[in-house]
Amino acid sequence: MDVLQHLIVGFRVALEPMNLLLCFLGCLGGTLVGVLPGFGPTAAMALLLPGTFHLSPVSAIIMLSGIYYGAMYGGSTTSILVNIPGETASVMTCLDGYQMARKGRAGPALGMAAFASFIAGTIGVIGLMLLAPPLARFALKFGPPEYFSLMLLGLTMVSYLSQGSMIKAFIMAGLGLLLSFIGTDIISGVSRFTFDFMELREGVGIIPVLMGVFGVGEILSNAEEEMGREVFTQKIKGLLPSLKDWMDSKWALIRGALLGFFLGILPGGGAAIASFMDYALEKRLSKHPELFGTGTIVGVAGPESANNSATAGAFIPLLTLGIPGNAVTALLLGAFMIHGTQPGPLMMQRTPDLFWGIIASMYVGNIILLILNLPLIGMWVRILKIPYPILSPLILLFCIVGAYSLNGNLWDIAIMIFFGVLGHVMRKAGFEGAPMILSLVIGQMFENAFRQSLLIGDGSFLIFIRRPISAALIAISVFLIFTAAFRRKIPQTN
Amino acid sequence: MSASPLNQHDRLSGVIGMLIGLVFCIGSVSLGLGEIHQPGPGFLPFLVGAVLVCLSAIIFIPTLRKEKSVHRQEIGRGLRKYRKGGLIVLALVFYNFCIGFLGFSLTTFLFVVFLIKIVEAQGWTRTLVTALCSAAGFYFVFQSWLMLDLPTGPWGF
Repeated sequence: MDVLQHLIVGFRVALEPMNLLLCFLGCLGGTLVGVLPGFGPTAAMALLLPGTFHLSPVSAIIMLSGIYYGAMYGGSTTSILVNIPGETASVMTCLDGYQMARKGRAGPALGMAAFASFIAGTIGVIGLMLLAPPLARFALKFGPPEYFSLMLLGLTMVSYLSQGSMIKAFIMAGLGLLLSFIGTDIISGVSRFTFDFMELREGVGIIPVLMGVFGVGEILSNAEEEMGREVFTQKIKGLLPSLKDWMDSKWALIRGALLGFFLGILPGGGAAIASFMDYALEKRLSKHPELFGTGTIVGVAGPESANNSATAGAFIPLLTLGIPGNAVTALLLGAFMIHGTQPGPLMMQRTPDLFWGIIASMYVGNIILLILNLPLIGMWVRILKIPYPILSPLILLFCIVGAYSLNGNLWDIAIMIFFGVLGHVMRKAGFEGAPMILSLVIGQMFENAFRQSLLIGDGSFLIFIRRPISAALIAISVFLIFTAAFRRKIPQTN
Repeated sequence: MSASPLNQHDRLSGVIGMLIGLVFCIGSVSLGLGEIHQPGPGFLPFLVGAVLVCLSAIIFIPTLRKEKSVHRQEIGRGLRKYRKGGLIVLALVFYNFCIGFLGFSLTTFLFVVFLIKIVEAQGWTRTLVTALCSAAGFYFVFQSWLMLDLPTGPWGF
């Protein structure tokens, strides 16, 4: 079988000692940032990106991916023990996980979170492995109009799926696009919107913006609210869920894995949305919806499996089309480009060892994470006990070094501070950062595809609806905007 | 009657959004919009800027209808809440300003001392131990191990 042969090649790459070590480090780092509230996988990957410069592309991506799915494991620990989500995809785990901990069942909750993550993570990787090759072949048919329409759909989707107002999310996406236009125009060579700042000619870097919005912004938000952090100090015993727990949650596990995977593939989707939707779904399907929020294990198993398989799904648009669907994969795209490789439909043919190496490393990573999160749970609990006043300066330092290190200039730190304040103010006014980051990253591709399409279509906008794939994608975008105009908001899941 | 906080936010963010959109639209026109079969460097920025103005107007206009006055008192009371955040931003600006000539290690040390001692009001032992460890730890990991070029002071670290 073709896939099997490729996979063997992949495992050969993933099991090289250096790659194995980096996969382990990525998973370890991912769990750590997952456990620490206020410091998510996006910021952590941005920070470690410069550290991967002297690695080979495959090693670099293996480590960075490890951070991504590792954070999904770690986030649940904080949710269950402290009732604060370690990162956004673990918000739903707080609801029942923490209640389980209060009832003395912290052990099974943590255990189920880890097992659910493992099972769904593995299902997700299998899905990725089976779905990516045919999709990549299909994507070979794509020209600039299709890419443009797809990116437009991505931006519409990320706004549609946002928790708050869709108009505000659209404003953020527009702002991100405008930011991406700053700098030298590739086609005409003129400087655009640099306001005579020399430093802006290179454009606004994505890493300083990320560090600002997600790192500094988060710290500033926390500084305004006094956080009641109380770690469960009782000894955690019995990590293995009982047979009844397994029977209760087996279907939730599978549903979570499938739903998460498909929501992960959608442009604009991702782990956080997957866990929100899955919790709502489980509650609706349950015979005892009243138990949700009081510490039912299904409320932990479902969302935790959804957020893990979503990470695998999110790799699909990135690896097959070269288009990131959310902020984290946008960062991974940046990493690919820094290492001189362009993910997309041709990657599987040109660099099969890279493609299959990454996939194989995810299988390996999920096993590493299971070990890290069950026997070593005590270590993570100890880290949670570090007081926040000590932790927050350290997180700020990480952000500073991360913003600075990519280009080694102080201007990037200034940009980070600016976007930190902006990110905080935006959040208070109900604007989310994710659409802005996504459009900032794809902005240049978006504009190039747009201009090339108009050239091909000889100046007619009809080019976007004359080609069937592009027309279908545009139709979905219009449909989404249309339905949203009537609903205004997606219903809050809690 | 006082305006609800979210309403105030909408009013302000609507205005800012419209201004940003407008700046980009005007800038795009001077860059040259080009023609439709050969769009210039200002074409897409102009479109996006215009969309931004419209969307911000949708956010802004409903805030004009109701609740006009804002109680200044409440804003004053809220200011204390912003003290911590303000100090953190101040520390960051200071960091960005000093790192060029004080070097990474000393600036980091001072930065952490300021945040833990003054902003978070922790004890001296805790402050100094964390500051020393973080300055040394970051230097070791990023400069020595990951081989990044952190700025150095006149004393070489």
